[in-house]
This record gives sequence, structure tokens and C-alpha cells, in this order.
Amino acid sequence: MTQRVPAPIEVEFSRPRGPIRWRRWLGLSLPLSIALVFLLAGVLADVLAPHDPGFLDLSARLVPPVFDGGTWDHPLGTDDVGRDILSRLMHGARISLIVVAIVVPGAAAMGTLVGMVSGWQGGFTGQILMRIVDVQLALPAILFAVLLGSIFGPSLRNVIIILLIWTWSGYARLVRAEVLSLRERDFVTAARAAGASGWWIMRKHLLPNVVNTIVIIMTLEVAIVILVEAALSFLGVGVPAGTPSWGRMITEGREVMLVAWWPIWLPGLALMTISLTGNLMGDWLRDLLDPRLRHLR
Amino acid sequence: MKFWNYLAVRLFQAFVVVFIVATIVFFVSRLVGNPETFLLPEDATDAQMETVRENLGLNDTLLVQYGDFLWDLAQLDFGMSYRGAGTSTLTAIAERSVNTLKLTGAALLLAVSLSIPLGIAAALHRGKTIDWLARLVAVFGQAVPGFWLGLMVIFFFAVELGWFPTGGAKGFKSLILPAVSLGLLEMAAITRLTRSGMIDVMGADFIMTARAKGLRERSIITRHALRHALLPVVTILGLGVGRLIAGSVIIEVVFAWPGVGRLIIDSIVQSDYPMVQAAIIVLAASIALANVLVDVSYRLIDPRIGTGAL
Repeated sequence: MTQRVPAPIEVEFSRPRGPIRWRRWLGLSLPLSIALVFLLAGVLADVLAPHDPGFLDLSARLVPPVFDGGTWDHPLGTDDVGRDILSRLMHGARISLIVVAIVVPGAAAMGTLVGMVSGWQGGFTGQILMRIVDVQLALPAILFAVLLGSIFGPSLRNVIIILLIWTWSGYARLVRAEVLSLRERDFVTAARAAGASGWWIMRKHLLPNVVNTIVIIMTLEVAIVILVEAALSFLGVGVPAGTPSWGRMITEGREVMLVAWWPIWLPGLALMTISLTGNLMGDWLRDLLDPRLRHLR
Repeated sequence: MKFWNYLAVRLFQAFVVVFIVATIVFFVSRLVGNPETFLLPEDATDAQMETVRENLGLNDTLLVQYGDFLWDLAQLDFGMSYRGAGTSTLTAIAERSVNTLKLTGAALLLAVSLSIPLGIAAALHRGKTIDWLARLVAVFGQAVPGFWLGLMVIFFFAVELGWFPTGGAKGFKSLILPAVSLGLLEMAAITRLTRSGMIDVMGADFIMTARAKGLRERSIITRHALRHALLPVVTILGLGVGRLIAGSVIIEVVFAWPGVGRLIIDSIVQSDYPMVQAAIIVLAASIALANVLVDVSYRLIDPRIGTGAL
């Protein structure tokens, strides 16, 4: 959809005083440290994980977490085939990290390029590009994902491709909207009068002005990408069976939901915590860089 | 006149979108192997296979098949299902779409009717309990994975407490859990937007003018502030309908809800490609139409937006 609505300009009348500013930083330090734990757990999963995430220990099935009567051997318990849940959570964090590390920058680059070109060129090219965005928005991506997953079989590569297709158009829409208003500004007219080429103006004049928007969406997209990866894996069209992804763990935990709470609660809580963290950091960044974008989410 | 032109152009654009979606779906589903192997028993002879291929038009070139497909679509003939001997796909989808409409409609209604009052109350009582509640809904609603929430509410409210059925579509009671699970994300978004919109607008000059005129607070809020604050809400409702329809697929699977989304997932498992094609095209068309409706109503609510720039 192309909605060119002037963003409401918001004026903060009361300036945050000392204690409030401190509280803001304190509010940021919690999400930041959670993000750090997530990052470390994912990157160092091989070193830190107490067990092999795929090791089946049939003598230790459904061992509860240590705070619910379990032992320190399996701090967060085991699932229905005796795999260590903490280790699987850490390796699941790695899967999410890989997906995020490829999809978020990739989609941002793709969307920014399309948004800038279509906003700057306008006319026929712009219309064509925006219709592509519309198609993407009208095509229920999850159905498309299920279709592709069922044809090519579940794999990490498919998940990444699907998520790239899914998320790039959001950047394109916003960048285009910003470029449409920026191109009328005096500094762009001046650059054009000085004989600058379209690419030069896009690179030197437009990009620096939209980069804040892009960074904010990227942060907010982290949570979305992780949630969608989990949802696809839950439906069985994400990562292949046996891979310790959080979505897969929830599917597996569902089978034993009535006898043991931890196999389904723990990956769900992990998902919720990390997406909460992503959202809070995105909000914080948005308030810092560009409060006009408050309508984004 | 300008408005009708605008409507016509938007409808044409929606048509183009649906056309492209249909094309993509057609070619993607042709990437799959031979459907006749799914249709016949394993010991079928080559001659039988050949007859089926011929009947389905699979021996024609891809381009001819595509042409036939478009021609049929133009006549609203979405083809026959491979399963359930001679069922028209469109009939099956029409039956199921009632359930999907119920589910998404209930989720949307729930989201709008709860979150707008919540957002307003939060904005008018900043820092009070209601504000905290609204922010909690906004923050958690956006972070909880819908399918996990679905499983959890099934566990607590259906299995443990036995208040609702665990799945299926039997009566009003079975609608509540899936609608809440599906609607929570939109509820979070709308609450957040209403709240921030109201806070912004209450500081605007025209509200001060209205106060100076001595208008009653109620009339200031409903007549002046709300109209302004709800504009961005209408914007995201359009995208929200799309998100709800897409999200209904997962929720329908979790709650065994017999809607179009589950039909698609089941049909994919059964390699019933005509059904998959038809259902995806129908869903895409409904999303495209919803987007046009929102754009049009947006222009009716806010006349400042010109119809010139498309």
C-alpha cells in the first residue's frame, strides 16, 4: 500500500530531567544485557553448551529443571527423548542468529535500494517497483513459505530466502516515502543544479538522511524475523527435523505438553524474551534517533 | 468525479496485483513433480498415467497451460480438486472461507473494540494503572509468538480448566480462544497507536482552542481529539487485515479450525495443487481488496489527502 501521510510532528514539552534520564539508561541496560547473553550463547554454543544438543539419553527422559527437582547435570531439564534443553536452547539461539545476521542486513539493502530508486525516479520505474511491493504485501507470505517449503523440503536456506522476500518490502515503502519528500528539498535541488548525477545524489544526499529510519526498522525487524522463523519451523516448513530450533522445540514440546511443562515453556519463554528485547531496543533507538517514526509499530 | 477516478485506478492496481500473484502461484506449483502419480494407485499402468496427463492438460506446453489457466480464471473457474472426486475448488474454498471470515472478523472486532478504549483511557490517565495495563498489553502482545500463546491458552483454559473446547469450530465458545490468540498482536499495535496518537493530539493547539471555547471534555475528546488520533489506526488496519489473514493459517492449524488456511496446509500435504492455487489466489484477492477499501475510506475520513497522488 502506498500511503503518503504526513507523519505527525511530535513535540515533547517537558524535557526529561536527571532521574528520568537515568531511568532510561537503566531501562536500556536490561535489554542490552539480555541481547549480549543471547549473542554469547549463540556464538559460543559449541563451547558453553553442557551437552551435545542432539544426544539422546533415553535413561534421562523428561528430567525436570534444577529448580523443579532436577539435577545440575541438566540445569533446564531434558525433553521427551532425553536431550538437554539448555544445550538445545543455546544451539537454537545460534540458528536464530544465523537467520537474523543474513536476513536483516540483506532485506535492508534490498529494500533501501528499491525504495530509493523508485522514490527518486518516480514515473514508470517507480510505479513498477511499488506494484512489486504491493504484490508482496498482498501475497500471504506464510502461504508462499509453506508452498515453497513443501516443494523444496524444509531447510535453513529456504527459511532465509523466504524471510528475505518477506521483509524487504517494509524498508522499500518507508524509504520511498522519505525520498519522495526529500527530493523536493533545497539541498537536493542545489545538488542537481550543480550537475550531480542521480546516483551521486542518492548516495551522498539521500542515503545519509534515511539511514536513521533504516537502522530503526532493522532493530525492530530482528524480533519479527526470529518469530517468523520459529513459526515456520513450528509448521514443519522451516529448519529440518532434528535441528535444535526454538520453533521445532515448541512443536516437540507440544507432544508432551500435558505431562511436562518445561519442554514447551522454556523455548516459548526464550522466544518471548528475545523478541521483547528486540522491541524495547528498537523503541529506544527510535525515540533517540527519530521520534517522528512512532507510528511505525 | 476525481474520487471515482481514484477508486477505478486503485481497483485496477489491485487487479494487477492479483494477476501477478496468480502467475507466481501457477509457475511455482508447476515446479512440483508429476501430479498424476498422486492421483493413481501405485500399480497404475503407463497408459492410465498417459490418459490422466492428457485429461489434465499436462502434456501441453507450459505456455498453453498458463493460457488455459488464465482463461479459466477469467470465467471464475478455479478448477477441480484432485481429492474428493470432482469437487470444485471454489466450492470447497467458499465453504471454508466462512470459518476464516468468522475467525479473522472476531479477532479484528476484539482488537478494535478493546484496544481503542484502552488506548484512549491510557492517554487520558498517563502514568496511572490503566496506562500501565495498556503499555503491558502493547509490549507483551507484540512479543508473544501467536502459535505458542495458542498452545498455552489451550493448555490452561481448555485442558486444565475445561472452559472451552480444545479445537474445532463448534459454536461460539470454540471461537473465543483462537480469536484471542490471533487478535492479540493487532490489539497491541492498535492500543499503542491510539495511546500515542491521543497523547499527541491532546497537546495540540486546536484542543486548547476547544477548551478555551468552554466545550465539555467529552465533546473535546470524541469530536476533536479522537477523529485526529484514529487516522493512523485506520492506516494500520489495512495492513492489519492482511496480517490477520496470514496469521490465521498458523492459528487455524493450532486450533484445528476448519478455515481456508488449514485447507491450504492440508492440500499441500495431499499434493492437491489446484486447491492450493485457488485458495492462495482467493486469499490474495481478499487482502488486495481490503487494502483498497482502507485507502478509499482513508480519503473519505481525511479530505486533506489529495486524490491526485496515487
